[in-house]
Amino acid sequence: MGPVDEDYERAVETFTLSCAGYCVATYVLGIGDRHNDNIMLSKNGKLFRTWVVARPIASNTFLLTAP
Amino acid sequence: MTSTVHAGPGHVTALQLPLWLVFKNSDPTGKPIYVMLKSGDDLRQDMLTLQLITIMDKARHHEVARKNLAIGLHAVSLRAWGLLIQLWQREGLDLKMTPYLCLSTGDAVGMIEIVLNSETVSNIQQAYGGSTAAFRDTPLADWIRNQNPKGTMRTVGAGLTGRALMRPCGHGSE
Repeated sequence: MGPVDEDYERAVETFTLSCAGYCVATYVLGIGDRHNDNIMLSKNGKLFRTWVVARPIASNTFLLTAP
Repeated sequence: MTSTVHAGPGHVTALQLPLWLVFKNSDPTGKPIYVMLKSGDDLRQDMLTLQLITIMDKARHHEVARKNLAIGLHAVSLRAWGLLIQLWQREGLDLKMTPYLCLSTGDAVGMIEIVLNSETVSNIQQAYGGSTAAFRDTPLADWIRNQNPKGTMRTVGAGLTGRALMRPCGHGSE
């Protein structure tokens, strides 16, 4: 690892942080319907969730019990 | 925004399928605005969720989130609001969230900001590992590696804070 690989190192770091962030956020809010079409990854490493459409909270379908 | 420039690769005519729209920015120095016009889903759920994520996340989104939430939830008092905002940043965490913009414009109709330079995990896994990719650690790591080749320096950004805590969650190459 050197300064020339800085973009990659930062992308991995960003991935780790955003993965943790969305783990917590979607679990706390009880957001369901999480599958790999609904999760996106940006080139700089940002992982993020899209299409919230499937009923947050108070739902008996698609409700995840663990992050 | 002044006018539609063109309909991009996602362009379809069927009513239920999303429209990929690119708006010319009224600010001549601004970038074009990429929007997905969608019908069939209740985007109010998305709006609320994204606002809540924004609340957890950052200070610079405060005013927008406060305004939107005040419209939706009259019960939130200012005192309660003070306890709600910036949950993570107060702990020194910048978790690099992407609270993309979302606006419900009517009954099951609305617009969603398109985040450029990104790909669904589904597509990445298919391209980088085929049918068993979901059970392996390498596809996402390989994709990130390929998007950030050695020896390039495209980004100049501030350093990250609050990192060690979140290590175990990553798929990274360490």
